[in-house]
Amino acid sequence: MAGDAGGGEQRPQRKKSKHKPKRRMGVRMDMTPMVDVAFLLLTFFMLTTVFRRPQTLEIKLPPSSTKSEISEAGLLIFRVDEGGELYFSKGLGAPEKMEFTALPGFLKDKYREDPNAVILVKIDRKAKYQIMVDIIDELNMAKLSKYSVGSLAEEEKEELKKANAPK
Amino acid sequence: MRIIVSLLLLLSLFSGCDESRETPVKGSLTVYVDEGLENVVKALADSFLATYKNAEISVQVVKAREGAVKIVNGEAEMFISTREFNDEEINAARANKLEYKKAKFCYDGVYVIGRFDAGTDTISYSSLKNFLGGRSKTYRTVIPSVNSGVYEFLKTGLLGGTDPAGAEVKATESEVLTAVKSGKNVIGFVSANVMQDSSEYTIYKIGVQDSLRNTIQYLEPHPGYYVQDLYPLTRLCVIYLTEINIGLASGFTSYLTGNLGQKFVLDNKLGPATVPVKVVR
Repeated sequence: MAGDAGGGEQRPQRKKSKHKPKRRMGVRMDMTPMVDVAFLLLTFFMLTTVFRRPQTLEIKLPPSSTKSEISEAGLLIFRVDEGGELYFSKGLGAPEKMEFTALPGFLKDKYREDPNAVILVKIDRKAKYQIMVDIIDELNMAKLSKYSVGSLAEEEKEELKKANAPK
Repeated sequence: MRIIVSLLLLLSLFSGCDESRETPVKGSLTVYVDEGLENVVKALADSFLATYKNAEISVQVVKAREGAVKIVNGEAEMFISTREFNDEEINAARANKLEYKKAKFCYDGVYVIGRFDAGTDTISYSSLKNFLGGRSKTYRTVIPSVNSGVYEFLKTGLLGGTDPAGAEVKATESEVLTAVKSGKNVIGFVSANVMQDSSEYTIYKIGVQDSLRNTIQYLEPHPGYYVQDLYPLTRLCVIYLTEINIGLASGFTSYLTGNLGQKFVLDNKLGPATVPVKVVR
């Protein structure tokens, strides 16, 4: 063999194998495209998904046949105009201006006179919602449960303006 | 390695070729239904079969008690009842180690009917108890069989567990209709879905005390009142399933409780129980 000057101890020669040892290479996968695709898919479904609304079935109730007639003479009517002023009238009588501060005591007296008194509350559409809430609260606190709330008619607005006019 | 992969591929190919496997829209099913819901369930079954041609559904009409016994004994896969199981039936199912699933179906009302020439169409709730207790000398009361859903409802809901001793018991709800039509001063109790032609009968409005206004409000049986629980003789109809896997019974149940099924329910004058409803005056 080359390099062998001769005379020295020779190394035992290995048999050359036919298979070359495999050179293992480190495998590195770049995950960036996969993450990109995942986000693209996510964005796509976020923008295009439309949830199906549950279909509501409409049920029309039969017309109510029970009617109760109330005598107008005994009806207590509270009216509130656009400016938030309160007026009270009984039956067909003329409305009289009333202070809100006097309302709780007034209702308690009415409850003592007749616990089943029927009350009608008419409020101008332009009045503040808080006024209606306050009146209903006072009625509930006075335990007067037979009341109805409605909106003020045009004729009644005129009537209130007359009641408000200085005498 | 290649041989193993090839074998696995072949196996997966052939395993998908099972033609006889039951699916939610394919297979054969016997549905037991309470006589009080016969008409609506038959209509729904026909509609289902028209859509899914590979399904076979047979509807068998039974009494409420009979259907409950079939479910509890594991003899039925699906039963549509006008009432829920009572304690005795629940204990029997537990003793048989039977697991069942329950699903809401619809709201139903028990009609109080008289002949068309009854004269009045209102009756108070307390009067019903008097009629069923035999305390009325003027009217004869007729109710369906002891095993029917109506009987159980009147016994537990109206009379607090006591049997309606003053009432005459007929075998079926159809016989109750016949008895009311042919006799004067006869009051009958039937399910809402049994009453197909109401022109020959008076359907009473039942008076309920309105404690807030201290008045009596008379309400006729109507789906709008069932869903709001205003009509006093309202009951909940349920579906019982003993199916283990998801097969045709589950598929038919989904159909009954879905939008289309509930629309059928409303068209049959019953109250939908599984979809949102909007009550309009």
